[in-house]
Amino acid sequence: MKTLRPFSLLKRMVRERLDLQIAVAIICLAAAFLTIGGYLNFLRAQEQERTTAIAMVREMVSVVEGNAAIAAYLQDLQMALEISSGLQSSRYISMVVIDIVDGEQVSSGVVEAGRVADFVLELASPFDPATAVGSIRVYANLNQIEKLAASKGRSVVSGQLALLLMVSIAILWAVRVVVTRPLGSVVGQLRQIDLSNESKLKEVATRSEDEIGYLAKNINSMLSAIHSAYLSQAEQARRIALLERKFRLIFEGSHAGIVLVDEHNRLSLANPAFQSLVEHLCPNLDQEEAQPLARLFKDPDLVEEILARVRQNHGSVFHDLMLAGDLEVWVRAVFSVIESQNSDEEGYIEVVFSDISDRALIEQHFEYGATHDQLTGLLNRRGGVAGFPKQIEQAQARGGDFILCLIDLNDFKPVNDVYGHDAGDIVLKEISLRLQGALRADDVIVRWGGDEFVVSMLAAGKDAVDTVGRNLLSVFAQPVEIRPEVWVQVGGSIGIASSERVGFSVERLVEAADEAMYVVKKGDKNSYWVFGDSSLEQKSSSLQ
Amino acid sequence: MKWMSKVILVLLAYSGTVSAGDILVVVSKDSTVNTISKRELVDLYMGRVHSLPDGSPVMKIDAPVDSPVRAAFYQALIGMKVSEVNAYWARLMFTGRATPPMSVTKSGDIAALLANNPNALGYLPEDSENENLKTIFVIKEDGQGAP
Repeated sequence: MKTLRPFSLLKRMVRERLDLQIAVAIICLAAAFLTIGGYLNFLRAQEQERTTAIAMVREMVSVVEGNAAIAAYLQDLQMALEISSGLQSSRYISMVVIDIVDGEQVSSGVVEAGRVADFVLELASPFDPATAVGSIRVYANLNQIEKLAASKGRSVVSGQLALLLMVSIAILWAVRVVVTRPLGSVVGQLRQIDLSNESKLKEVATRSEDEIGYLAKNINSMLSAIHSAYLSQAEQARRIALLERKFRLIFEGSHAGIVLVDEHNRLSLANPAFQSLVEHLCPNLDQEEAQPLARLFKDPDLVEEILARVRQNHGSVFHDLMLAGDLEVWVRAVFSVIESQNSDEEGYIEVVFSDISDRALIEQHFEYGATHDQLTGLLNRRGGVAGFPKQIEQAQARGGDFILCLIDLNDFKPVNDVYGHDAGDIVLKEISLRLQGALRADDVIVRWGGDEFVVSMLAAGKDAVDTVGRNLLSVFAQPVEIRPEVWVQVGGSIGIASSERVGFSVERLVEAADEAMYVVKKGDKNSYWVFGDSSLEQKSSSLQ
Repeated sequence: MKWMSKVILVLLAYSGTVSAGDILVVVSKDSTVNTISKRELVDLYMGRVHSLPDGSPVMKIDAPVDSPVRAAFYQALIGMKVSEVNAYWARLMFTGRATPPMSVTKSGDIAALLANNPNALGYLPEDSENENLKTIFVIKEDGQGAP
């Protein structure tokens, strides 16, 4: 393997260099052409030389033909010998034999025994072409001819080799100048380009106006497109990363529990705050299989219903919920559908929980205190105002009337003054109890002010107002025992307003009842009057 | 008178064929040769053969160089001009193997030379017959020879 390393190194170098590849290709092709073409040329040159040699021999023989014929005709051996030795002196001829018809012959030179003459010329009499007088046999110097032919072939081939070599070098040079050098310059410039560099990219420059120039131009436009795309991508990625970090901060660090619920109402994702919120329930949120969200609450059906509602209305729903388990943990939950373009997340709901268990308890007390009178346990003015609309709604729904009565105690101040505040309180409590006893459970009884009460109800029938008025008056029929054996008598002035006359505005109803009450107060005092009644006849208390 | 009758015989025999342009190949009447073929004549005159067919030595005699009969003789015999024949002999001059015929200076000398030398061989125009000579071959004007 070690011996192969330089070779493989060379191979790698060639694979990375275009000019070397071209050089190798040219050299390989040239070698192949040289081997085949050179051999063929060698053969051709050799054959040509051989033919030339034979033709030359023929010419030489034909030059001496006349003299040889004369010599044969005269049977002049001396002359024949001179001719044959003259011929044989040529380097192409090994031996010449001149035969004379009578059997005599002369010869010059030697050849190996048994060789057939390469060339025989019959000699005719110079004076009678029909008469043969002899013949010349010529043995060519084949060795010499072969030697000459080989040297000719070699010289031809070496000439071609030199030419081919020169052409190859010229092509290499041309390729280098025209192709590889401009290409190499383009490649070198491309190597130096750093796409992550935010400044403007250096353009690839080339002097070529051919395909390489076109390539460089196209590379430039492509590079700038890629670069701007890269930069905007990088910028976007940076922004997304930043945003993601912020989101993660919100999600991970939030004190509120945030969960994602999938289309099957299972917990898809829960942040650490939620996990710690439900930790005591051992919900195993880490498990592979998603848990139903509702399972974690005291009233699973309610949660399922809320989820269904949210999904249907595509809005947000706000609800306080109590977690399952023995501990009384309240959470305030905001359910919202996630609007997503991604169809995979279709039907996902985001729920944000805040732990309100402490606040819930406080608020329960606070709300009670805010809406109820501490002394009598009745609703206070605020609680009453909050309660009226519900009743009005019910009345309107039934098509009935809503009645509001204002009761002002008479002779209450003297009780306070004479017997003290405790006695007053006792009176107020007693009256409250009597009102509760006299009215129906769903009637609203409100301690309106110091010694004022408001009662509201749905009208039961046509004469409802009078029934109510009498009922209320009956409350004051009996004296109140403020301490053992001490009785005080308080009365009540009652103004009644009915929606039949006044309409359903709470404000207007209260005003009307107030007006009616003042009418009573100025008149007969312990009585009731219905606002809008034409007759000024007042219903006297049974007491009077 | 014996030779006379012979000549007459010959003349009679060839009277119809011998014309004014023919060339007679002649020898002395004492010569042993009575006839010769055209090929033998060529071989003799062109130096291939050095003796008569019967083996006796021969002396070839040529007409003077510029005589019309010499030109006609060689033209008829081998189809060559006198200059070509001269060149042929010049080529062979140094080999020593072949010798050209002996050339006379005057046409009239041929008959005398032939008559006095039984080994001599020569040629004459048709009209120069002599009782001391005998014709052994006739070369027709058209080049066809006949003995």
